[in-house]
Amino acid sequence: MPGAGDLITSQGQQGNIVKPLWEFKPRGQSGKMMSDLLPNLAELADEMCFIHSMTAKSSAHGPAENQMSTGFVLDGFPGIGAWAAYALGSECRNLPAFVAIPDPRGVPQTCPRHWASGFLPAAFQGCAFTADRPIPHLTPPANLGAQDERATRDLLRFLNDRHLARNPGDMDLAARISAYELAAQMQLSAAEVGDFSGESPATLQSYGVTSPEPNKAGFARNCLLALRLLERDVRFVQLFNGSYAMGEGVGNWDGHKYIVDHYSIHAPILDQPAAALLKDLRQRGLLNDTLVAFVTEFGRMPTFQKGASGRDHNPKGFTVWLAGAGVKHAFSYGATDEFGFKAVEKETTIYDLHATILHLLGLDHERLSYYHNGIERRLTDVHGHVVEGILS
Amino acid sequence: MVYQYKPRVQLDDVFGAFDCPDAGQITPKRNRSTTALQAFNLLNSPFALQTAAAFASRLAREAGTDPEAQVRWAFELALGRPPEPVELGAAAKVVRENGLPVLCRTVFNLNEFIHVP
Repeated sequence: MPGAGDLITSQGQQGNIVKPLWEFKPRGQSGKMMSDLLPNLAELADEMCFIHSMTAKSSAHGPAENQMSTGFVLDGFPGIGAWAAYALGSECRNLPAFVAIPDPRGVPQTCPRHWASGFLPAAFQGCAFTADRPIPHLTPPANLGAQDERATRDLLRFLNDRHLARNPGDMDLAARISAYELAAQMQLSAAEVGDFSGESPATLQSYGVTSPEPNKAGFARNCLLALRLLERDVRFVQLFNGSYAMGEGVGNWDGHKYIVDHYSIHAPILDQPAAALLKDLRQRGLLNDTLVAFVTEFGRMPTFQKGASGRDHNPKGFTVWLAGAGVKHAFSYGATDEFGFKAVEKETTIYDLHATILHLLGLDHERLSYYHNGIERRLTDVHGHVVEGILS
Repeated sequence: MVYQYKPRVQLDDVFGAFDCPDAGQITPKRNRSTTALQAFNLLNSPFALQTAAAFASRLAREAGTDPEAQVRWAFELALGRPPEPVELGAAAKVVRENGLPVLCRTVFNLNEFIHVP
């Protein structure tokens, strides 16, 4: 790449440009070129709407993750799922409106900031749980008998009803009583949604739930959990692949030094379960009114880092894809230069992506706002244009 | 809670569900949400159970062994009023049958305790 020797990225100097490390082949009816790294997802190329000209503001994980999930590189802003829950409410009587599912290996770098409600009311924060780690404090402690629990509920109801009668017309009190009733129902429904015994062996196998590799099986269970949550009308599910705490590239896609070795571990964990989820959404008819967004905080360089066998961060041009309700499929939008370094055609920002996602949820990103600290705040700050070119 | 060790932008396990700010942005006015997750936190979190156990020890120490005296003192301390006769009866029954910590856990989940109209 011309001038690559002078290029300084987040970890320093660049070495040579390096060709794709997995072979690209035409896939599906569309013949979309996709790599052998993710063969199961590649088979579903015809379902996908690629944006190849995505750009991010930051080349550091924390701010970039913040931007992809909250629209801002700074901390403390509501996640996109919280905005969706705030705008659309819940369709589901007995599960949270917004569920975040961290990777079985651990949480992302900015952790709950992806699903925090920021300055939006806490009612809209994402409830984080996985197939293997249920909602925190969901069940009464083991040393409390069923009779004790029933006595607690009965006395609560009795005293709260009397309190409500003394304070007629107090909507907050009525809401609090119904929240406790919802909690009682949620104990049952949250256990039910994570119980896969009703799923066929073929389904479990297609996700990879039966894989001997524990991280793949764990991620597969999370994918199946995501499907079952969506089936039960949970409004927004945010599913994570990769964990921060295990270190650079070891438990995540941060392939700075040994990209072939590391991606050979991570790709099989992601590929089959995520592909099964997309296929299953189609098969069960959910993709007609569900939007899938497969995103990352930034891409990687076309060069290797100087003296290393891996690629540094690159927020100047990378790919995300959407699938499902409202987007064209077997469709590609925008392009980088021929090196894959920089978006040059139909350059797109995360603001544009968020504006488009909100549009597909039936929301105008300029009108969805919340007054905080003197400003009507938006997910898209003062930016963003709906990417009309990808709408079906 | 009066004092708290507060890492910035880390949501508190129990109070985060009650709109306790994560300190990522300044918060001139605190939101007031009502969610089912608050119920889980106040009913089942180790913090809530530990606090209920501590409250039970205090009631036993200060009100003696009579369940009705314990209930009266629990109402005074937590709600700032004496129990009405039917409330006293229902609550004392729970103390006798399920134990004082079970009553204390219940008191901390009462709307009257959580919410000031």
